[in-house]
Amino acid sequence: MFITLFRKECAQTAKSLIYWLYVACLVLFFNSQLGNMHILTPPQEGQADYLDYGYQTDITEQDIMETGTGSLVWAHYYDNYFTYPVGFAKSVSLDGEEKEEIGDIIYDLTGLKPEDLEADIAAFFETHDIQTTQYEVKLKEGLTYDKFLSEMERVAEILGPGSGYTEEMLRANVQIPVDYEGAAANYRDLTEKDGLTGGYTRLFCDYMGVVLGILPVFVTATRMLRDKRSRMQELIYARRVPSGTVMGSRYLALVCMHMLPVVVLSVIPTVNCIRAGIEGVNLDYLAWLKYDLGWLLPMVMAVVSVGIFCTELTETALAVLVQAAWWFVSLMTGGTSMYGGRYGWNLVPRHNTELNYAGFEEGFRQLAANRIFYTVLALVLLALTILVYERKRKGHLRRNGKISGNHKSAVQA
Amino acid sequence: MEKYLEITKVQFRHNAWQHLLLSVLLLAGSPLVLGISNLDASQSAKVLETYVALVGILLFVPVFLPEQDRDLWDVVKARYTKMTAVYLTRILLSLLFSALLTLIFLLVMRAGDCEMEPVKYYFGTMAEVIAFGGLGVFAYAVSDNLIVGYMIPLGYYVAGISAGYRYMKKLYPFGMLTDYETKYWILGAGIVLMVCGVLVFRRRR
Repeated sequence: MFITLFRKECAQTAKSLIYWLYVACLVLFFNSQLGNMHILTPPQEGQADYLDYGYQTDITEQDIMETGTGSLVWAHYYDNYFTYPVGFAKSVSLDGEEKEEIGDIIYDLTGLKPEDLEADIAAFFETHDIQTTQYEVKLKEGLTYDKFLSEMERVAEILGPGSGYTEEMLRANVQIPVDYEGAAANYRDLTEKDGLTGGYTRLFCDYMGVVLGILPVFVTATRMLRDKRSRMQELIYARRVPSGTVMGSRYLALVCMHMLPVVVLSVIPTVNCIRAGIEGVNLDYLAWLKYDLGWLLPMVMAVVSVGIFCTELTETALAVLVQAAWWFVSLMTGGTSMYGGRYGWNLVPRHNTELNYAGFEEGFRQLAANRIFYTVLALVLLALTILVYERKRKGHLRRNGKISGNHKSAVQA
Repeated sequence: MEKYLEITKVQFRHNAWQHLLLSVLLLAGSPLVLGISNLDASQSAKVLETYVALVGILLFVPVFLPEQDRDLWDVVKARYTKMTAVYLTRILLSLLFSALLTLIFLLVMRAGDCEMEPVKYYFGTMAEVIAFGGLGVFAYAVSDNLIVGYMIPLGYYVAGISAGYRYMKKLYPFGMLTDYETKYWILGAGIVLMVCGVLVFRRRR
């Protein structure tokens, strides 16, 4: 029975206009972002620049301290503090006492008093281009990394969530372009540890995640509302099939149908890597499968489960609004960690480069926990949907689109 | 005139208030997620274009929602008042709400010392609101499906973020500082799509 229903659900989905709109959106998005995928060739010594080869991965504590303190001095001098709680800039106004405390922290880190800052900034930009160079400040001799971090922790506390002064953000904000050796090291990581295809499939997941964080909810909500619109609910309720089978097969069909075009598209980066014919690379031919299942599937499962749960519960388009809000916040939050390595609990983890394998390796445990969490959440929502559906079949919760309003019991009704 | 006032009242009492409430919540909740004070000109434009303009989708798209139910449609179409006039009244109500909400938000930003050229930014944001709304209304009418009505303008929003001005040219939705002429284009497109949406929905039934 489950297989029969699963097939029927797949066929219904394949016949719906909105599913093909979903496929068209995926293809268009893929084309616009990855249509002209350029596979990196090995860096050559003496070439004009190495901008395509990412940033230095061996950042020193000294780099972090100089850049972080420079950014704090700049913000303090211009009295212009910003945080990025969900990707948008949020101006933070400090009171006199807090400003004084920041001034004291700067003094502890650099030995500069507030009245010396202007002269120091001016002196720095006499020898550096203000358009291209980030202000760096000379630190006090003997300043330890631990002391620096404890001072920055205090700054982060004063500014509130989304500040750039947590250890993670301070490290992420240091982006030093690579020289030839750095470029060669990054390229080695890509070809040896990532099997070349791994890096490009990860980039594929990064881009497709942006649309997969929202699009499946449209198809799902439409499918869920279809029974109501065609007035088939009562007919299905009366059947002997268990609710778990009805909802389970529908859920599985929706997830499979959503993943189908994704899987097909994900093979393209691998084909491009093979066609590039770069010598001496041990290609990972199955990277697309690993990333599809590990990175994108949990996301699709979560979005589909939000769709079926909210729509079954309210019989309205509420799922679209809920998912749109979640997606928007995820996308904006992810904007501050585009280079990968800092995946957190974001529904749409970002890694907008084929490089930075070191960051991926470092953040892998967090990413795995993140994906497992969303898979479990999806299954919990599915179980709740089955529960709601079962209650409806027994005559409860039938509110014709309203969340509240039916106070009669099934017997009274 | 009295008839149209009555239509407006009924629309507000039974439908529009929910979408208005959602829009108010979206904007009122903004201080929790983004800054609306001491922003420079580009940050102000970003807030207005990528956040405030979303009210266009919330307020305009559900314009045909009351007639989603076929039975209700049969009752409504038996009346002698033209459905086109009813839809236009509803659209004007959505326009009024979105214009007011955008104005209030812009004034709050001004009071918070955000840098901007008020008239230019207001017109630019409203052009985008109408473009999102028009696209949604048209998609809803063509597909006879509210969900598609939400999906298409959101797709346009994503295309704006990901493809950028380079690919979208005059139809780029976030061109407040890149190319202000885009605002006239999207406004025109939004109005045309909205009118076509009403005509298509009327003919479909």
